[in-house]
Amino acid sequence: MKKTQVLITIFILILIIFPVFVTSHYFLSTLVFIAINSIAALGLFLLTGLAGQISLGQSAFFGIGAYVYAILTTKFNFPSLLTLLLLSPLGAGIMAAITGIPVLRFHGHILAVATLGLALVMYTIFVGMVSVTGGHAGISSIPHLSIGKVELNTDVHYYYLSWGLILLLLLISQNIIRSRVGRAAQSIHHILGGSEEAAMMLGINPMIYKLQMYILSAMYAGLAGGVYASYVTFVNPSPFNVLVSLMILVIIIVGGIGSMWGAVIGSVAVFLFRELMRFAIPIAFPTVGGEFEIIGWGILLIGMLLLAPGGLIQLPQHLYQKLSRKSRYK
Amino acid sequence: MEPFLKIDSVSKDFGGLRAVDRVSFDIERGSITSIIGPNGAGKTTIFNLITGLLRPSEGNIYFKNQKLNRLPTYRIVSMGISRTFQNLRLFTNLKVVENILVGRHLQGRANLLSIILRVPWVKIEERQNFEEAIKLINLFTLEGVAFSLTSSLPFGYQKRVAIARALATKPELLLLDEPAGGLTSQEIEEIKQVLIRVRESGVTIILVEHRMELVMDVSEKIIVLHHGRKLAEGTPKQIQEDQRVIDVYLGQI
Repeated sequence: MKKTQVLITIFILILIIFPVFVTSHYFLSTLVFIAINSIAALGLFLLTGLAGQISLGQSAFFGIGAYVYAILTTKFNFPSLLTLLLLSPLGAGIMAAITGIPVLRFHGHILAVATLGLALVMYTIFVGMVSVTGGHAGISSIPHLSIGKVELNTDVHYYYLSWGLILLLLLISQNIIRSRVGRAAQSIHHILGGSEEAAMMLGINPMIYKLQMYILSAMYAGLAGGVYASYVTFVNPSPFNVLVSLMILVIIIVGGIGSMWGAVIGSVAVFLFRELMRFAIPIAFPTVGGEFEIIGWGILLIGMLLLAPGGLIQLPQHLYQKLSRKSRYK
Repeated sequence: MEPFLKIDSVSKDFGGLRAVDRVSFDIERGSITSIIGPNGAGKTTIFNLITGLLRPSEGNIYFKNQKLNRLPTYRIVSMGISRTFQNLRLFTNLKVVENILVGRHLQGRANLLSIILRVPWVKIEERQNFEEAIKLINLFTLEGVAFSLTSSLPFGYQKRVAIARALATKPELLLLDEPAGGLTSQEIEEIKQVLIRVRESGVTIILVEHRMELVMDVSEKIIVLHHGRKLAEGTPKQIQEDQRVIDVYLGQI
């Protein structure tokens, strides 16, 4: 317990002082995008890591959050802070509540495919409902977030905002994990060792906790979308395509599905991996396009599952166990 | 007065196979009853029917005068019925104390909003929950492993966790599916003491069990099932002397 507290303190201190030493636009904006992915991934951790339900629909909620912020602030002059913190998550949460009851009846891959369907439908709506979303041209001149009279218009502002939100959401997630609701969610996680039948035999209605975690994961993704729209000040459908759902799932698997910290670690790792692919693929296969990335995702996912099934967060422990087992045989 | 639990001519078909065939029996409040019979006689199916994991094809089940047939499992549990599984189904991703805390789910009120907002009463409830869970852990002498993952425990410990978790729901009727299966004679003796203590606290118990040293010692009534039908019902002495029971079941041992 002591050791993790020290690690968390170091993590927070590094976060705070980082922009003092690093002022490059590239690094800071990269960290903002990593933070936005982390927020969405943290939500999916609550659904998939805690309750064991797979969603490939997070890009839909991410997009809803972004479009809610874009539309309400540009067309209706809504206050940006209220929209970002409340209405973007709420919009995504309402969509999750409506789709959750039919979709969460399914288990395993069928649930994954059903949520994938939601992501496809929402993407089509973002592209096709031109009068509301602007279609492929999107919505531009979205105002930055303003807190009181202060407009957040620099990378440093957004760096502190997004990582501050992550710390807050980590704290909330921690409270949920160690609560009545969090334990009920974990008790139905059939992959990690829960059992819906055993949970029902203790008076738990699994549907309620699946639905709550689904809505909460959508609200996290909606918040991430709101931060995205207010930071970039422009939205069009392409950042909310189905591959983004896959990426968020890959993030929590690579980071470690059993821990909320896996969402943050996974976001950093997946970002680095993607940069590596962008650099390496054109050198290795000069004639192919960006679609080749998906093969890289597949290799990353399979490699992680083989080498470190618990994700990066358990990698040190996993390697230590492997090494000590080997030395015992000598 | 109506019986505490009434199984009224209940049948269960799986496709063409009749697993339970017009079985009827009553259970009195505060009693220990055992259901015995050869493998495939329909014992566990009866438990699944009572707890709503399966629906009867025919017949009715009444608990405290209320019909259970169509209620979902978690509703039946909230009325005061709890059970263990033959294969335990502990939450292996959780620690022993957390398994028992999940069992206390119905005693809690904390919801997602109050947990996110860190409302003070949630913390108080959590502390009370924890204290109650520790009481159960002490009752089942699990102190040494309270913070271990259940997957790392020896089988005898896991069985005790399963019973403690079922009791955490504060049931009036506890169904135990082979609590002595796979245990040593000494461990069976411990389970026997646990059952007697649980019954003294006012909980009615039904056992499905193969180990006769446990069944004959603790039961007031024994029900014998064979090929889904009720073959005999009576006191341990009556059952031991029943020629049909000896022929199909006891004689084989």
